[in-house]
Amino acid sequence: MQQTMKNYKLFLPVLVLIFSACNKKFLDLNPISTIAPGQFFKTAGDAVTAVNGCYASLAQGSQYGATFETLMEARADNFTDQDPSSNAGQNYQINRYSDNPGNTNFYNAWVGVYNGIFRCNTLLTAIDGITMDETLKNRIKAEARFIRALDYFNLVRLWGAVPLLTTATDPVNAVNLKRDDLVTIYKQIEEDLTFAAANLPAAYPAADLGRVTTGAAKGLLGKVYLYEKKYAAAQSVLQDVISSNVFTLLPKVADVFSTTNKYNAEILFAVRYAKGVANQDHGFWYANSQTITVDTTLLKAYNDADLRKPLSAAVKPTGNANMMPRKFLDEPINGNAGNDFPVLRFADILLMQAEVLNEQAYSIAGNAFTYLNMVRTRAGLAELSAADLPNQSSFRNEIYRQRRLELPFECDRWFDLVRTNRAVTEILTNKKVTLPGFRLIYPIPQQEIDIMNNKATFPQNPGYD
Amino acid sequence: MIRLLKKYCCVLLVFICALHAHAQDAEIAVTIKGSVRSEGGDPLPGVSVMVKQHNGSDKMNTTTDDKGLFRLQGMKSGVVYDFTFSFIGYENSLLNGFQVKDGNGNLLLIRMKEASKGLNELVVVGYGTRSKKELTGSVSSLRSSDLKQQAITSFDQALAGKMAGIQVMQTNGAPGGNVSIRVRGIGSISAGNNPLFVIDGVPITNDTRSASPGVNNYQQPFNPLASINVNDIASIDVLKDAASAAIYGSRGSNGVVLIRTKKGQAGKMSVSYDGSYGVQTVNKHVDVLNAYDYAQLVYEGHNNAYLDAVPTGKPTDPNSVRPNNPSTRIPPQILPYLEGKPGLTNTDWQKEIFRQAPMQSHTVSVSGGNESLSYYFSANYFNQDGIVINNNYKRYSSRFRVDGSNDKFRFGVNMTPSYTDNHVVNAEGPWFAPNSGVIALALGYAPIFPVHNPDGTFADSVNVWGYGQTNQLNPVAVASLVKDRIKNFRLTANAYMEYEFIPNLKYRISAGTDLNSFRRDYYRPSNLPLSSGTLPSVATGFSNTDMYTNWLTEHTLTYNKTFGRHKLDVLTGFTVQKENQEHNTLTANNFPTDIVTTLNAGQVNAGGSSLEQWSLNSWLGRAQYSYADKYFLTASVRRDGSSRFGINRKWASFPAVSGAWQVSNEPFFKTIKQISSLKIRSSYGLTGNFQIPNYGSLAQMSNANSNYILGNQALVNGVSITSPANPDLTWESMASFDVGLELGLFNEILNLTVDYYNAKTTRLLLNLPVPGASGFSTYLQNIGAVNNKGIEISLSYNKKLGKDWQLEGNANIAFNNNKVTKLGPSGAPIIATGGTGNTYFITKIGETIGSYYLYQTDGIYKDQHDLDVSAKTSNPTRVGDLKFKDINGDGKIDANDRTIAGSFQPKYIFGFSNTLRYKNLDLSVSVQGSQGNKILNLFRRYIANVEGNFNNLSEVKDHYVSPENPGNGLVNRANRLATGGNGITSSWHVEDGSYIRIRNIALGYNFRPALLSKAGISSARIYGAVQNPFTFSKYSLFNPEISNRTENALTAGEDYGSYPLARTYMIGLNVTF
Repeated sequence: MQQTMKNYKLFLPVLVLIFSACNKKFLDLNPISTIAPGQFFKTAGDAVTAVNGCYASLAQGSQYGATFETLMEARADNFTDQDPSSNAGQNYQINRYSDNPGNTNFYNAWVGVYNGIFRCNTLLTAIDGITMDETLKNRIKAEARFIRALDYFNLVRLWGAVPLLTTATDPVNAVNLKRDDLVTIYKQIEEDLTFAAANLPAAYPAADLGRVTTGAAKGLLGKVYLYEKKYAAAQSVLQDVISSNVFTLLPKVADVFSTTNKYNAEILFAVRYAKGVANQDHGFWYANSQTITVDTTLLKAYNDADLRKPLSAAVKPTGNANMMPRKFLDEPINGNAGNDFPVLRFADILLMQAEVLNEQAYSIAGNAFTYLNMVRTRAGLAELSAADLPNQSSFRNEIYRQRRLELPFECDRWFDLVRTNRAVTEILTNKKVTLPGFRLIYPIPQQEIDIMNNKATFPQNPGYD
Repeated sequence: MIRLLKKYCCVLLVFICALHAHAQDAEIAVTIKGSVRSEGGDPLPGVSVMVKQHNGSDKMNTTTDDKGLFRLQGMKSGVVYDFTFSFIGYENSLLNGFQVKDGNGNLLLIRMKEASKGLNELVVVGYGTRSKKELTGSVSSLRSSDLKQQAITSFDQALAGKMAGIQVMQTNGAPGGNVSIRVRGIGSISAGNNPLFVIDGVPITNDTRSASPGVNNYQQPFNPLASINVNDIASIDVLKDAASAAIYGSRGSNGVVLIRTKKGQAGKMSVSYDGSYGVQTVNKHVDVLNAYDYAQLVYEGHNNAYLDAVPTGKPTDPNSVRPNNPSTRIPPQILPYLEGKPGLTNTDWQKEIFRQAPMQSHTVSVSGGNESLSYYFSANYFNQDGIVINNNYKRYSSRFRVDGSNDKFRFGVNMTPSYTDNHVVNAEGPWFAPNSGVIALALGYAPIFPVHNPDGTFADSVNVWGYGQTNQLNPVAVASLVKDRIKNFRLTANAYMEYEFIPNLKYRISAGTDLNSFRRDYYRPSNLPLSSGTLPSVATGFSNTDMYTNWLTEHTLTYNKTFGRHKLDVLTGFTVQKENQEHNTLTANNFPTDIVTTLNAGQVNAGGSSLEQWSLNSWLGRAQYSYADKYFLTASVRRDGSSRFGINRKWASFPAVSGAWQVSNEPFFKTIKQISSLKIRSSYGLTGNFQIPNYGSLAQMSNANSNYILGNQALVNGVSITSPANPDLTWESMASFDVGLELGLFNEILNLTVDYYNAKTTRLLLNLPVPGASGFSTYLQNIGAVNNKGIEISLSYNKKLGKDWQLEGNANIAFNNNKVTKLGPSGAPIIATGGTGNTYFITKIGETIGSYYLYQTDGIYKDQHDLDVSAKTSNPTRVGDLKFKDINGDGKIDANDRTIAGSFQPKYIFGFSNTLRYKNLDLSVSVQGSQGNKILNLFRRYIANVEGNFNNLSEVKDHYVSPENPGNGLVNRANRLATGGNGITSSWHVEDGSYIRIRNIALGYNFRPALLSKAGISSARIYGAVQNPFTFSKYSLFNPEISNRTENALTAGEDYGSYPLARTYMIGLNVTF
């Protein structure tokens, strides 16, 4: 018995060891290399960092970094994809109107844009809990709401009716989302942009160059109104942009795209990139070996004197087999490129205002001719007068022509064709391809249709199902 | 007088004679002589003989001489002694209660039985061992002898086909390449299906992040188990049913593989050498078109593209009149071939990238010891060239093990340092740059091009030949120029101490660690072009390091006691385990030259480091009770707390009960002579699966894809939520029922084991695809249930056939039926996408996990009428295009016509291994097979597309040409610009993956000990073997065991190009001194 007691004593330190190792903290491990949201959204600095993350969503490969060029430009008639192989032929199919809902470009863009919306919504909810300067708070909200508005504007132009979310949703409950009607979505876009225009500054200190300004918000709002054919409303906000005198046409059109002259006075809003900064560069837009030829109808549409013609021509940069439009050439070729993507620039504002004015009433003496001619003369073309464009319809056609010549490869052409109901005829004329009417908007990604699995509230777009 | 006593672990002992009895009271010193022989009658030299006075402390040791004889002097007559005979490879023999007779006439003849699979064989179970007859759960075992004479880098490869219900797939033939092990089917969808590996009691980490960094998804996975030397393994036991595995709680659901390493045996020092040398060749040549047939296909494909665009055109039209679309023009490079000029370049790219590759392995081990201390030391050198050029794998490993004991105290230390050096050639995955898989390239690359230019440089630039042809890279250049090297240093070590502080009550503390560090250096030089073909390209490189630090302490108390016919074993314990996972990465590009390839030479453009951790706390308890060796009962419970689970669900309990009835030990049964043993057992238990991301339950924010450029090209910080939170996240729970029957016939000549199991996994951890509108693609949740049930039958036999012949073997077959029984709140199926567009997998209630979900081909549209009346896709479709079944009958082919086209899971798997011995010769054959599994051969999108941009399988020669010449009615027409649904992933890309593979044939010869003893050698064996000599399969590419994505059960079964297995001819030598 004595012996046994001694043994129990021996056992005591072991028991201590056992229980000391077993404390609750041992199992509560927090991430070390990432942040838990509970630790974040405490200061004004956190809000700024979070809104930067919203901007960054636009720069991803799923949006302006790569996929948008395929969805918004390759669909139109500015170039022809000659490569049935790369990306398993999926880009080629979009260019040739033989895509189906399983095309991964669709899903990538869809989830990419919605992730941007999620970032904005998360910030817009969380920022109310932060005690900070109200002006800065409203500016950050306005930046996030601009980005969200741009996201929805892109979504409706690509797919038509889509789910409208203004708060971050639980991923599980998202299966209950339905395709909201276009009117509701456009109303939200207008509200967001109106709020943004009212709460954003006209300009920023140099270090913040690239953030959304009130001019950018008004300019985008003008474009939205134009798509909605709300010409009077468009005229008013576009006039604000023009009259603000913040933006001008650069004297030389080539300078607008120069990588040494980024975010110049013509840019209202651009998605920003930089070469030589890790993960902030992008692939060459529209570039591919042998496979992309700028459509000859685009080049033929230019007058030889047009200073924009060489910008649209495909070039082969030194040391690289890729062909790319000179507009987005970034030499020296060094892996990737660093051009900013111009989302909205002053030439577009002028052309939109000219169009808006003309749509309301053709006027020989009005500003419509002034704005049109500003763009024409900058391109090295002669001014036009009522003698050249004697009526509303001829003026309209000239605007359409100038939009194509001024803005190719800037993700505008396809949406212009669709909004003006010219897509089917122009594609047939320029690409010699019959474009079925249902292909004016894209199919909802098959993966999304599969998950939603509800034909009533979440149907596929007609023609694709 | 014969006294024979069997006790505990002892097996067979034949005590022949003890000559005359003349007991004396006085203790007189006498000498005992003896001879130790094998059952076959061969004398056994070097056997350790230990003698202990039955009721005293006197001890003596000796070993047998080269004639197997021993002599013990100074024994006391009339005293009772206990003898223990032990020898490597033989079961210990005990002779207890031997009373020494007067005089020197004491003579013992001992026959030792070779260690083999007997009822008393010890089986490792979690936290202990049991004899096979006492087992109440389902456990499959292998001994070191089963692992030998195979040309393998890693022990897991040797498991193939050996154990019922354990599916071992060598998905990748690269040295050090991955092996997929599935125990009883797929119980989990996304929490991982790898079993838990426990080496000498230490559960090891099996993470391979460094081997698959974010270069691309298809990088061939690396096998961390390859760092373990096969020769060091004493036994492998796999716990299959939940009752056995429940002692490992939240890690037990996928089964547990327990590995025990060799330890020293008491006796004189023994030195062993194991060496083998082999030559490997690729085991298949895929039949692709030669240069002339290829040129013909290109010609036809381009002409058809032209004629589709310009219906009035003629095939003979020159390029100048064809449209400005390169795919409609004829590449001039093929013209000489069309004219049939003989002697043109006709490269067999498979010949160019494969080679005869040597492999060799050398292990020296030293072991020995005495009753109180034993040691084992081994060193191994292994060097294997891959059958793909420039691929090499080397391993240097050693093991130190010391075990010691006295009456109350035991201790042991076991350390295994290893270093592997792997020169990787990326063979796996798609052909496209920058990380092209060389296998896919070798099959698809145009045979009209040479390997080298006349000046000796690689003929890469001709690859960009325009005319709509796909730019591929010269596979030989890719394999030769890219530098990719993975170095792995690993140290697994553990130490234990055990103290018996009151009789039968033992406390044991053990501490173990697994330090695993990887370094990978990759360099893609500027003289290897990217897909544009331009030289120099931008050189890129990365350097990754990973460090895994895992430590474990365990405290256990065991109590065992025999009360009459009752036997009780109780275990209780507490364990703590934690792991740090550190990862660094650095990438650079723009190297000025290819001379210096370390990253300092280039411009470093990205990098980062990260640290993650997990921790696990557990309580465990188990009681085992048996009565009269007839009734066995085991109950166990483990309570696990894991850092990985949500704050609301930190802890879980995993109980299990099992019982067995050794029917043959009942008195009524003794009369049935034919049946030597019969056991019925049954078990039920709960296990879990905790293989989920370390912080899966928490929302995480990071700067990933969130930094942005503002101002004058300045980077500003941004953050965003990268994964949403789930505070309820918890372990998967598997409830498993097992009933088994073990039958031994004709004195254990025939052993039959049959198991039926039914395992229900609930709270499936599922990275459930969620609507992209939420901003995320997937969300980790506990949702759904899956059911695996099946039958396993294993038959082993061991029969002496006459004097010189012996046959032993094992045949097993396992049927598993996997069914999803519940999914999500709505039960809606999960449709996941695979490696490319239109590649869908469906996981649906009532179906197998991860079934292919594709359009179903129905031949081709054979004529205009067929085309007019049949359903079509929305693409323009022509006669000769692939035709699909209109599943829903709505007159068109779209996503609603997708249907299940099989799955990668087999209906049944089987294995067969046999050894036939004649005198000292033995011949063994092992076979493995799988039936009913399908492969989604995504590479057919290229290699069977009949477009003419890739070289194609010879089977496409039978393609549709015209209504008069429709081919075999299955292969679509040639066309560079695919029309209809020819380019959509469909059942055209699914192939039968059933196979029967002869894994190994080996012939060995054991030299007679008598012959060797003069040279001081105690045993010697030579053998010759062929690994993978034959595979019977209809699969068109190399390896039917393929899956490019074994880690994701939702999308497993793809082949996008894979490293073939080698056929290896080898010879080996094993000598023990």
